Amino acid sequence: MTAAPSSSATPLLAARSRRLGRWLSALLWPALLLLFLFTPILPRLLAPLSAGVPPTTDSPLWQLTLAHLGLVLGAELIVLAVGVPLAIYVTRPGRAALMQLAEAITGLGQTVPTIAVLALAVPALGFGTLPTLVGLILYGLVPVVSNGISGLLGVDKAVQDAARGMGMSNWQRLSRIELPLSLPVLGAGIRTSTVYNVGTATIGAALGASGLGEPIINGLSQQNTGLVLLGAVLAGLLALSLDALLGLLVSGE
Amino acid sequence: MITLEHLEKKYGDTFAVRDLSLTFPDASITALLGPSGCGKTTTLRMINRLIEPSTGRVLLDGQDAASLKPEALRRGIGYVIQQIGLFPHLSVAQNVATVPDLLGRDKSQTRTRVDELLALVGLEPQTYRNKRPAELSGGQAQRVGVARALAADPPILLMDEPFGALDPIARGEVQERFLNIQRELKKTVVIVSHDIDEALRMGDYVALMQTGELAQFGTPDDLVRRPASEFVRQFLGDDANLRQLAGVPVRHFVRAGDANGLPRIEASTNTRTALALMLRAGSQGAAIWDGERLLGVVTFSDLTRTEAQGGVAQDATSQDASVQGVSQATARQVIAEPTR
Repeated sequence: MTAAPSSSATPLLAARSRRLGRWLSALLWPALLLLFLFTPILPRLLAPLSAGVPPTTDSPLWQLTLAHLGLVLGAELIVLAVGVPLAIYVTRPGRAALMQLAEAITGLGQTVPTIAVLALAVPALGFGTLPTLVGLILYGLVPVVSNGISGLLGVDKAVQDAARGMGMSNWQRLSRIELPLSLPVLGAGIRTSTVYNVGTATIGAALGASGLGEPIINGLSQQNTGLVLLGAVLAGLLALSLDALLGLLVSGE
Repeated sequence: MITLEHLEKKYGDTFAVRDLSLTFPDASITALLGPSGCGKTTTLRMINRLIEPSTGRVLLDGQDAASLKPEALRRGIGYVIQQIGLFPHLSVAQNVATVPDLLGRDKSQTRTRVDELLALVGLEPQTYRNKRPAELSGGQAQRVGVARALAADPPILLMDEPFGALDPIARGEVQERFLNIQRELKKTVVIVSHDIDEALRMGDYVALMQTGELAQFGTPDDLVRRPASEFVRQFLGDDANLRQLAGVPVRHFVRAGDANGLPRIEASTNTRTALALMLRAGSQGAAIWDGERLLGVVTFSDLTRTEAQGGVAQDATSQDASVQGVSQATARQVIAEPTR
């Protein structure tokens, strides 16, 4: 008697607990990051690698992390503002040549080493945050544009034909059909771009930008392994956190 | 009424469609039939301007289609394609509501309309309304496709090989269901098909095309019995009569007579199968039964008169309101002439 209602509720419960599980595992990395930022646990753990003294930084760790995050997210916003319209523009009918050009250029961007992009930005823009931002934008554009293009091209031709035949305008087709259907692929590109740039942004410290690259660069010059790892572990946790959070966002639950 | 006037579509130097003048009669199904590459799909797509004609005009109830905005034109014409093209990220109900939403119709009225349409195409609204297209079988998906095309109650329905991707059993079911819906709704339907059986079965009229030009327009009977050219005769094949019989239940040929000693055949059997059963039994005729009720007899010579079946067939069907297929042949009263 009691089994009947519970068995009918099982799929719903299972779905709910699955969703809960995904949220919990996605929040694991941000929680660990916050723990390390606001307690002295991590420097103490790394003390043995720094001649027994817990490594320290000039600015507090949370400030460095925030600066790092600001750099990455600022670059990503510009990447989205440029990359998504670009992907849309070149995938409109009759722009096949332009699309191939865009794919070739973004493909080229993928093969050029990150450090080279950053090094080239310095002579043009001087030291500081600006060249780092430019480097991050150029590098971040690659996965967003190429995934955006393949996502939009991957929308079923029959679906597009039906949408046109039903009387949707170009804009309605884009906003109601093409963008929603290409979102998973585009979202994966945004995720990749963001995560890569967390790593890339550490090199920005060499160009004078603030962030988690600071302890890494200082640690390298002072031959202080603990200090290097302090920056590296936090940057790694930041990348994992952003990846997990964007994963939740893109999968749309 | 859809009228094509000297319609042409040229790609480079080759004509996809050449000097095509044709009228699709109101409230009936016209099958655009022909081998692949004959221009039938191009013709269909010029009606709702998915393809713009090179020259010539498309008139819808006398109004030039070129004078309307393409989007507005298309919202007034139902469109069904072979690949179905349901929007995979939207529910069945949202798919069906596409055109009413584009037209800005009232949401709650649209919801009611969606349920009506799902019921019409034989999908229980409660069960199917919130499903995603990926959860449907091919036959169910195409029924949703038909419901979507009918949602804004357009007077015209364009169908591009609508049942071509379905397996034979699902195809037969969906075709039959569509014919029943059409008897109720009386839309002006244009169906592109390369399938002769489908064209003869579904079409009140058939327009047979050959390399971009009209080979013959007429009722299925016209094409089968009075082919206008060698091409028409060859395309339909030597067994055209049999193909035509396959689309008609044997009950349409029933007349009163002595059923004694004749093999027993169920009334809903298609006539080609009935003929095969008579051949196998070595009998000149058959007794036609509707369940436990004897309707009458059919003989070989009855089957040669597909056009002259009128009176008897109608009587036979009107006796039984539950008849699935009301005579297609009786719906084909008029032989319309192409306008060229």
